[in-house]
Amino acid sequence: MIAAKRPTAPPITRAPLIALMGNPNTGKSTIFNRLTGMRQRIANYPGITTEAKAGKMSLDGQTLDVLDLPGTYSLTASSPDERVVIDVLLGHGRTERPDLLVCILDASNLKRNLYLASQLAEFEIPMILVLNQWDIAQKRGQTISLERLEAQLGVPVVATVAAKGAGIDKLTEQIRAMLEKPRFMRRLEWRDCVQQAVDLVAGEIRQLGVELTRPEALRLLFDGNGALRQRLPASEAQVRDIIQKGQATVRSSGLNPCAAEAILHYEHIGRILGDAVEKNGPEEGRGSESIDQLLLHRFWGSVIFVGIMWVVFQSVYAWAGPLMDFIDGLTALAQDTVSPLLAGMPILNSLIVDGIIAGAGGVVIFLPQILILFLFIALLEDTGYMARAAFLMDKLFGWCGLNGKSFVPLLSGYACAIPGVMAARSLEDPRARITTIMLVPFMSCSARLPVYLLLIGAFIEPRYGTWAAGWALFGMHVVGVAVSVPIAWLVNRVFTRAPALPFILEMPGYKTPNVRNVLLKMWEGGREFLVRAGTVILAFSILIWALLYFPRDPAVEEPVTAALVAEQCAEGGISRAEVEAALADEESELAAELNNRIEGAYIEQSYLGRFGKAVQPAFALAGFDWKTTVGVISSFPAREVIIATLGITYSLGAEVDEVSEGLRERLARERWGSGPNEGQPVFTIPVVLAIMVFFALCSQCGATVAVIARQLSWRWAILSFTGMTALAWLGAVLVYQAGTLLSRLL
Amino acid sequence: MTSSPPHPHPHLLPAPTLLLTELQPGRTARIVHIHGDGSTTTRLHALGLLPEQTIRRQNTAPLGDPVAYDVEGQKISLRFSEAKLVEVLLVEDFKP
Repeated sequence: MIAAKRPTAPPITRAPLIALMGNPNTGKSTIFNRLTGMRQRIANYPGITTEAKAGKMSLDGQTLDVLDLPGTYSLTASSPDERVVIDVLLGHGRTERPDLLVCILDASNLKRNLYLASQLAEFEIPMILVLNQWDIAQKRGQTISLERLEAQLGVPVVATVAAKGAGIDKLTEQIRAMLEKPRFMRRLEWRDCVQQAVDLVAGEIRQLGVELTRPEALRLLFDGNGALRQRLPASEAQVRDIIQKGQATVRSSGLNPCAAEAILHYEHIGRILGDAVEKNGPEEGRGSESIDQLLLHRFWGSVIFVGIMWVVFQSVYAWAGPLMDFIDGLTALAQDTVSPLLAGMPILNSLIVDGIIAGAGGVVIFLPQILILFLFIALLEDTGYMARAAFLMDKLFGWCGLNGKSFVPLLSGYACAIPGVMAARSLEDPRARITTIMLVPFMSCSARLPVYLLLIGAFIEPRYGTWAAGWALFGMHVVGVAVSVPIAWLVNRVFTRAPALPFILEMPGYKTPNVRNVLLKMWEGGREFLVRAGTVILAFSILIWALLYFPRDPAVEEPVTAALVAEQCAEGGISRAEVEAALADEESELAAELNNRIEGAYIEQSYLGRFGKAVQPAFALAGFDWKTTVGVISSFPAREVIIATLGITYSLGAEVDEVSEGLRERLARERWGSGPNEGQPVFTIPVVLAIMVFFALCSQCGATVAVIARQLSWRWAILSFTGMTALAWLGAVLVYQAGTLLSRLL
Repeated sequence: MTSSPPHPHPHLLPAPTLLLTELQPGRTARIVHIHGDGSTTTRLHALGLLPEQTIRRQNTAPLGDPVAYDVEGQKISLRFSEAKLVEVLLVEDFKP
């Protein structure tokens, strides 16, 4: 039916497809990197964690496609990762059925690792078994006979130490041999009751008009909630009935259907290993255990954890600072170089200088933080500490739908939300991952700091002192968490009412990180951000530039100039001619003042300025005047822009910063020109607090929205944007109204 | 499997089982049964937590949950809600 839709093109002899599978922490990615080098890209399977990667390897001049699938312990399809694996095995994914499986096993933990291999054998795809981390197995005093394993399993078994590149040649050799003459791994001989149950399930499903293969029927029998069920045309109840009938057959022979698959596979594995593996003498002292005595100690473990996180956070925050300043400087340099070249073409000049260069600079500026964070994440993961960190923190986060692995993304959100969102991919549990990603933008990132510093420095510190200023700054850093975490709890526990998902965590032995892997992870993180998110951010930056620039009717200049001249005449008691002479001198202060006022007037007249004025009534409930409103709206692509926009609208030029006295004084002097509060100061304490709360909660970062869309989907990105913006407005209105009421009462 | 190790209190036989959550730190037990029929149960089985398997309680997280266990040389952390599905029988430690 589906096949009929495809036009009959001449058959393409496609490249052979090799799929890499294995448990997590087996060094699967390292082997993939060794096989493919840099010729790899991220394969697009939405919703999975350690994303699938597609690469190419050359073999005797032929190109082979290699697919690195997410690590799984079994084929129980309850997580998206495992579903992707099953889809690929059955050829339901974006690829044909693989021509060869390479199953990577941790040689030091063969028993559990063989479980997945034993399940894979059911799919009757040629397979090679790779016993990686062979050196560790030997250190632990195990003698594994590769020949006996091969004889028992019927497929090639290769020993490797992928981190050092040992055994990769042998693996390549076996890949060549297997593509010429495939061999299949010997399947477990199921007991009669299971055979009967499989036949029964397949038979009943056949009556519904669907032909199941044996491995499919087996998966349906043992994993009724898995991926297959959703593809069946029958109703939930019908399928459940069939599965229950099959399970009853298994149960009738005294086996628990829930445990039968594992028990029978492990029995089978036990027999194989009994023949092929010998333990020589006592196991060597396991270093990991003594390290864990300290690192997982209930008190010292927590102290060390806080210390490590402090270093990570400080590095992301502080090390990136000089690099970011450097990139900022480069952006400014590029602007200053290009601007004179385009002096004759104001529109093109502004587009390139203020739109494209500023936009590109705004993308690249996040790169240092991303690279540094990914360096630390790669180190923490490769050493095995990440699992320990998740273990230590799990209880603290579990209650609101997160888990221990949420900690690192949330913490890095305090430096910058973008690497934080990207770091959340290490969470296997999809619900916890979504919750974490949605919470990260609420953490008070470093781009919010200038706004806080400006407003606290201008209004709170002069009036209430340094002590209050410190507390206000601290408070602003807590607002996001205080608002978002209870919402996460409400959504996860009250509205969806879903039970907490299991959080079974394997803690691998400690290892020295592999430099190649660490660098590759940093490179991937940086590249993904630049290519996938960067383009979107750049597009948004140009859009906002256009909205702030056009229609740019030169008619606005005249009244502004006239007003300034009149003002000067009245103030200084000088003649009109003298003022005009001063204006003609481009270097004079007065000319600069005029220039700033004209820029301010252009913003007021721009599409975004008009829009800001139009929506100002909505923000009036929070006490914002139109200038603040325009500033807030123009800073949606990047919140730090507000300072420059305020500088322009208050006619001080764009080169103001949060500590510039001019802007602070100007804000303090600003009074309402009309309306019910005419003549009153605009920036009262409730207004200042409302603006800060707005910035604390609002999603004013195009880059974050783009990265969320990349990591989850556009639906989640839009939800995050609208949700945060609505919350920010609500928060600002509440703070302003409550503050105003309070100040009237006192 | 050979016969079970001698019970500390033979007069109380049959040996009382306990839940994995009740196991004291450092003690070793033998898995008797894993309750439930959901995906958590299947997952625990897949990781090699099977009847007759020995399991030792290792580290406890700072807030008392989760707890790390040693199962045949692999270290696995379970939350309280998962560990309470596992019914075990205490194995007497023959430490001097």
